[in-house]
Formats: sequence, C-alpha cells, structure tokens
Amino acid sequence: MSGDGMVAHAGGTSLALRREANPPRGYVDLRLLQLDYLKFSAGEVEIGAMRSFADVVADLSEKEPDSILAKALMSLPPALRNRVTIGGSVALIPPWSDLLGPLVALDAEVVVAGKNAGTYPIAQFAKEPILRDKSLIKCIRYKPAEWKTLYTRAARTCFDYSAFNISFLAIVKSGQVKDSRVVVAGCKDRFVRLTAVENELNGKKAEDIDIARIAMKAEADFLPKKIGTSAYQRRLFQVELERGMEKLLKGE
Amino acid sequence: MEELFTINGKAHRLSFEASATLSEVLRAGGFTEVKEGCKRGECGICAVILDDKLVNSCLVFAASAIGREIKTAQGIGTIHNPHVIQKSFVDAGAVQCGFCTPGKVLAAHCLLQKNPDPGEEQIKKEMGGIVCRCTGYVKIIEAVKLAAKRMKENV
Repeated sequence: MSGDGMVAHAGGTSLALRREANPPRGYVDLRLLQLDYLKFSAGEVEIGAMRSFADVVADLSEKEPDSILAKALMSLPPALRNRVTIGGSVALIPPWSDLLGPLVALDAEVVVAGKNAGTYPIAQFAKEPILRDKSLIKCIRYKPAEWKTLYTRAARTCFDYSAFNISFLAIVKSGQVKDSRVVVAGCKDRFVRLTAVENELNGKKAEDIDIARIAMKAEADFLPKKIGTSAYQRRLFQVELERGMEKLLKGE
Repeated sequence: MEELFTINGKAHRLSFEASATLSEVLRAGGFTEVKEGCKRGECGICAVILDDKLVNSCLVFAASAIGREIKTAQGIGTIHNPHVIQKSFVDAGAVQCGFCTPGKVLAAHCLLQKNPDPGEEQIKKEMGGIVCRCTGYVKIIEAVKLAAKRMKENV
C-alpha cells in the first residue's frame, strides 16, 4: 500500500516515531478495515489488529480475569495503552510493548493478509521477518484455558522499557502441576520457551518442586543493555524465574 | 493542509503539514499548555485527552484527530475558574516548575472520571508515564487524593 510518500496508518504510535527520517506525504487510514474488535467464539479469543491495549484489557477483565496478556498490556502507562495496538506490537515487536512472551506462552496465531496471507504460529511469525513484508496483520487468536498466570518484567524503573520479561502459566489441580508454560522474552534469541523448566514442573506436586534448583539450571542469553551486562541479566533472569515460580506455585 | 479541530469544546481552523503531530499543531495553534518533552512518548509531558482517553499528543498524527474531541488542561479549568483538580494540585504543593502539571492534571481528571475514590496504588498506576523531575511524586499523589475528597464533597 505504501508508495509515492503515502503510508498506511493503523492508529498506533510507531509512525510518529519514524516520520522525521521519512516524512510522509499523506496517509491511508486503515480504520476503514474495522480491525478494532475483540470477540470470544468457539472457545477462542480473537483480537483485531487495531484494538488498543486499553480496550483489550477492558474486554478481557470479565471473561478472562487472570489473563497473562492483560497483565503484560498493563505494564504500559495509560496514555500509551490508549494508543498502542496489538497489531503494531506484533508487527514491530518494539521495546515498549513486547507481547511475544505472553503470546508464545498462549500458543497464539497471527492471521495475515497480503503477500504472505495465511495463519502463522506467533513463534514462527516473530522469527521470520520475511512474513511481515507487504503483509497486513488482521488479528491474533488464542485458546484461553484455566491458567494461573504471572507476568514479571525486569526494568530499571516502573515506566522504563523491559530488559526482559517472563510469562508463567500453570494449571494446578489438587496441588499438582498438570501443565505449564514458561517463556522469557527480550533475550538474545528474542524469546525462549523454557521447555526444560516446564518438564521439571509438569506432573509434580507443587510443594515438592525444588524451584531454586530448577531456576539455577535455566538458561537464556542476553545482549548487554542499560540495565546491566549479559552476566548480570542472566543472573537476574534466574532470580526472577525462581521468584515467579514460588509465587505462582506456592503463593509465596 | 487546513482543517477544523474541536479543542476544548470549540472549533479551531488550524493549518498543518501531513506529517505533523497533534502536539505540534496544538502548540502552533496557541495551546502552549501542551508541553513538548521527549517527542517520543516516553515522558508523557504532552498528554491531552482525545475522545475521553489520555494520549501522548506527540504520538498522535494531527490528521487522525480531526472530527474528534480534544481536551487540554485549559479545557477543564482556567486561571480564573480552575477545576477542583487544578486547585488541589496548587493547594497540595504539587506544582514546582509546572512543566508536568498540565499532563498530570489531565491524567488525574481521567482517573477520577473512571474511579472517584482511587487508592494509592491505582493513583500511582494511572498517573504513571508522566515524568516529574521536581516533586518526587509524593505531593502529586496527595493532590489527587485531595481532589478526590473535594469532588466527593462537592467543594
């Protein structure tokens, strides 16, 4: 759609940040595509690409009160939540709204129109930038379940960009972990699903799990950032992982 | 281009470039209570209310605000007729350099519209994203509590 200085504008925030490098001559207003919606149907949540973070949080508050996605979206301050869109965040994976962790944990899919039309697992979509070339994100979809959730982010201050974030999901019945998902995002590989951690948790009684040992063995690499060196972040990641699991599984 | 913007309940014809942000257009149009900070959506100083929602005006294209209701700090109260929130900020000592104050006042306005009796944690969350270098935020939190109390009592 872009060409002759015209750019597609979907109501989000990223274009305003790039306009000085390439000032547009005008805009194609994508609001006409009516991608600002959220619906629950056939056991799935479907979120239109132009839905704002604030609206998604409001939508999910009743039907999915412990939503990991809503928790991640709430890490932005109100003025940004009211403008940042789901589609823009998935397309650009900007540092201020990294949704990869929660979406990978939820096994979300991205529905795309254009050159690469199709439905893709979010993990694949994030790792293959070619899929974003001349493509329009229409919506994301995931199947909610009875997850207990916890979202934690490492940042210097409450309104700073995350250095990394960890999404925890667990189904615990009669004190036993039936299923779990643990994803760290913001690491060197962009995100890592910690299947080794999940395997240590699944099928075990929560009170018997040696969380400290599992956290110390967990691996993720980080590029140096303002929050600290790679080694510092790796250690911080292990600490946050341990704390998160303790809180989620043992309520501590 | 030249278009009509609805600002603080009145129509204003303002001219602007296609790439202009709402903060640039408002300031050029005389609404200098909309401050300019980082121009990247990180400091929140430029916050305005767009269709009842707080937004960073530096991240909003002016063209996308046409036909919508824009409210600046002057839109909720003026020097001669201040809103109870503005008065509470002054009375609580929450105004030092004053640069963050217009944005903070609008954030407080949005919060108190949503919840007239917020607790301290909600005040911190909903007032977050607008940086203040002067007050340490304590007086700002007190100002919001004072405004909530006064609004409940209709003072």
